[in-house]
Amino acid sequence: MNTHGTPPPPPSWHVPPDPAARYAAGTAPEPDAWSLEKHVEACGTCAGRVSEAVRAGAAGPELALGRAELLRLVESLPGRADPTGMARAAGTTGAPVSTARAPRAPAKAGSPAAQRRLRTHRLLWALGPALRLGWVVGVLLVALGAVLLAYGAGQAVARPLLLAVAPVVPVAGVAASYGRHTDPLHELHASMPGGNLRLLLRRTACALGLSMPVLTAAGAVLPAAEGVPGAAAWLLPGLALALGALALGSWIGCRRASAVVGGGWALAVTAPALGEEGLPLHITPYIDAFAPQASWAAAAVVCAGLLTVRRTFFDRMERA
Amino acid sequence: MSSDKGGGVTVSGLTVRHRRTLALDAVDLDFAPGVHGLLGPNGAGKTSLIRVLATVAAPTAGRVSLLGGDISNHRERTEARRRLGYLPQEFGYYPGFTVREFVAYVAWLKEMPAASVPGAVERVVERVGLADRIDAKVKSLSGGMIRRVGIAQALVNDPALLLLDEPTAGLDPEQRFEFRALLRDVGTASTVIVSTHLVEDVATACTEVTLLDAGRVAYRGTPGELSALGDERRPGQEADPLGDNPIERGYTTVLRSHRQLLPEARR
Amino acid sequence: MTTTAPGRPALRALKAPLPDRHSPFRSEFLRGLAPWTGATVTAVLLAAMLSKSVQWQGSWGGTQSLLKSAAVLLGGPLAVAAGCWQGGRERRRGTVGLLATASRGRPAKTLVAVAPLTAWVLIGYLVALVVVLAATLPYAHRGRPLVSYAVTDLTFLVSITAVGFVAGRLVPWRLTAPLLAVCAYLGLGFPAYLGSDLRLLSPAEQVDTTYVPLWWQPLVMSAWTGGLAAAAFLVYAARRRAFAVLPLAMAVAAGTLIADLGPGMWRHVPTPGVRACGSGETGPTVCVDDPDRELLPAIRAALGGLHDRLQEMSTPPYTYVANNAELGPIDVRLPSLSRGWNVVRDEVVDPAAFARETAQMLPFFGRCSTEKLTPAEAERFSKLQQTVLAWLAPADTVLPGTPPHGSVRDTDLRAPLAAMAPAARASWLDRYVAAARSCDPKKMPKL
Repeated sequence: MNTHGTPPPPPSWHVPPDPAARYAAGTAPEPDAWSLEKHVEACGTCAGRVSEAVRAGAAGPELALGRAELLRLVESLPGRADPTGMARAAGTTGAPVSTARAPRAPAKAGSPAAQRRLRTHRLLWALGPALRLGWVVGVLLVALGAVLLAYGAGQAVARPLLLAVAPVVPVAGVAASYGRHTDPLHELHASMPGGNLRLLLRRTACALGLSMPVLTAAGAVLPAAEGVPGAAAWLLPGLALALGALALGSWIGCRRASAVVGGGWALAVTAPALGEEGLPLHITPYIDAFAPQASWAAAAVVCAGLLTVRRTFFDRMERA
Repeated sequence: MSSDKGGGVTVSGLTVRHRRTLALDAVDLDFAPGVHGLLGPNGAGKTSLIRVLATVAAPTAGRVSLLGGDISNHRERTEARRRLGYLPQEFGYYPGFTVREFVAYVAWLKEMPAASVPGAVERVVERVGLADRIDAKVKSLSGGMIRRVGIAQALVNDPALLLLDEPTAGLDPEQRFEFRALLRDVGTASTVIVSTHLVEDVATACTEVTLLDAGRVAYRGTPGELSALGDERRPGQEADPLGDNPIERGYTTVLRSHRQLLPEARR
Repeated sequence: MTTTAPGRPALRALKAPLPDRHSPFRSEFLRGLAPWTGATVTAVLLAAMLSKSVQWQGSWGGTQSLLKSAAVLLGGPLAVAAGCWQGGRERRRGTVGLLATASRGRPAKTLVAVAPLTAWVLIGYLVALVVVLAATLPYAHRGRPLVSYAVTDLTFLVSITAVGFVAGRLVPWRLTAPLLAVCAYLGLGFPAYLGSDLRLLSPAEQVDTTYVPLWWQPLVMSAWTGGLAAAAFLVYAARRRAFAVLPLAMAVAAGTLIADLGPGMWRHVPTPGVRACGSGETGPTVCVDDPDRELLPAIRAALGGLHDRLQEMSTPPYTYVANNAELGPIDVRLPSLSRGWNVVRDEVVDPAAFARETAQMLPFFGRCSTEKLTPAEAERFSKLQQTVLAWLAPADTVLPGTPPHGSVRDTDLRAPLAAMAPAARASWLDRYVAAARSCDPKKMPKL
């Protein structure tokens, strides 16, 4: 390769069509092939002619298929700014672009299919730790365990037990939603604009949205017993406890707040019935009549208010 | 060649298979007292080798002899563990413990005689430069200090074999300089094996360098010899930029030639 | 460096105990989860006991059995969750490799991790025990606290913490701790629903407080719970796993014994038979068992009105005796005194209701069967009975009425009698008593 001085003069001799065809067919004698290759290195027009000859020859269809596949692969890569530019650039040697169609048309960036995919991805990123497999398994275990308990063992205890455990499940989801210990991307999230509270609320909503139907359905499936509240009686307490854990978490951290709220509920549900026959379970007075449900609703409203007041907590910088 | 600390480390035919990948492939090595550096790209098997020498992971095949004992025998393994110091790459600790309590806990784990523990703890904490924080909780320390706590717990029982996996990660240059001096000091009587990415650690502190690549030994020699390899100019070729300093150039040279020698099927 | 001879490292670890700040036991005892667990156990037990303080203050048996329920059904899940969290500590903190390279044997390493936590759980229980016993002391007059309850509870807590620890070491799932807590709660509380003697396998089960356990009952119960936990622990921690068979066999033997004997492990404590009586110039004579004598003033005050009204009649003055005594001709049985129901801390909770219940035991009530009476006569009989009761022992309750009358208030019922002149009323009542004794409807006076 010439590394110094002026560029070499253009060659005066060009490849005639006959040797090009022979070369394409592979029947050209060795010296002719060498000289043709050497010439084509320097001369673009002849390179195009030889390419045409090859495409017109026996290897043409296979080459066309290979190029179409390659183009399709390249265009389907994410973030391609100009998918059609490549196709255009492929044709600058002067030869026409092959008419063989690619097996599948890729979605161009900006098309509705690609946008929908991106939106789903964004949604899943936002939900993140709330959909953590461990917590989902926990929800399903609670539902399944309640059903098994009812049908395998005493019926009088299964539904009250489910109603006692169910409000704590979204609280556990809150604990898993935010915080240094559970969110692997916590450090990044803390430095982002755009409101950590919104992220947190989205995740809590997902936790509630997943656990509410599953656990209510499990409760509905259980046999009803005398004096036991209905399957949907835990919804308002669950909401209030989750919002309470969030509001308290703005003071002491989500994980600790969830532990306090969950532990307090557990104590309130078991302690008053201690010493009586059977499992100490004191759930009915908390959720059965209208007055308790109304007070749970009021508590949920109060916690939501507290959360609104403390909404800037989650965006604040950590102090030492 | 036994020092007053007992025989060194010999590894023969060591194979470590981790799920489906072969982390170490029939490696034969021996380490005499001194400071040995382990270099190599990620996934070369350095951590696997260190874990096997620390008796944390069992080899799939091969024989490892540590300080005069075969590690497949329980009694000899326990004896070797008493004279071993290990700092893992991801150093885990109990955050609520103070520095003193944590190092004393490790000293107890290594079955040091109870009477010698307090003195040893204070000595080693001072040696790594944390004497003023000896009663602070580990969770209140910065990353580099936590690393130094790790170095302290590896040194507390005055080990005959010291295994350090990326010990200087998180240390600033001054601390690294002091650490290298520490290594040289420890390496006079014990066998020290340091796995690192930082070549200047190797250059200044190690008496011998082992280069691992894809589970095999690519090179063994002194740091001087490795630098010399990198500076050889091959005739008729432009000087490709292989590295910023002689050791890096030697490292890259050796790796390239080692990879060319490997059969295609292994990659 | 000198090396110690290989020996029995676990035992030496226990015997080599520098209590100074370099000892690992001290470090584990003071740092981390253990002290918080102890504090939480105390707080939970005391909160539960406080919320039910009317039921146990004043009775040693009541105190200890309620504390046992709390310790097993509330403290047990808490201890198992704490043990599980402690067991998962190595995995969470990433010290697995560091511990693997240590020369200490596995029994010693496991012991140093679990023993301080267990010690704190026991301390939590003991603090709660001392507090509730101190609270019962001023009001308890019979019996004394028993060591066997405390022994059973303590061994149970140790066992369940060890089981939680082993589970935490073996299962890498983060939610194992709350799941184990719920399972422990169910597993320990559920046997109460079994009718047979199998229910006594759960340490939470109680028998009536008039029964005390025999001396070997805590040993058998400890063998049952402790054997299971020791077997699990040895399977995980010991070098030779076969050692676990021993505690397992002991646990199975103890469990079989418990299921077989059932309530035979307790004995009934007969009431002493010594009675204390209170009487005076005015007011009724009340006799109760000697340990309850502190209640005499309250009972006499509650029955004062009843006594005065009975004196208007020509019936002899009755003596009111405790309900497990033999009745003489002029004795009236008192309602059974149970703490938390009608008696709280040496006071009668509802004197009017107490008087009403006592009045129902008067000899002329409820003696006659209504078989030979016509429905109209039976109805009149019962209405008259209710009227007299309402007069003798007024209580502002709304009486559940028999149809078709519906509910009536006390004051309405006794209005006719209240309106009478005292002499007329007295004779009316005497006629009623005669009619009630002879069960003759024709003799019933008319209102």
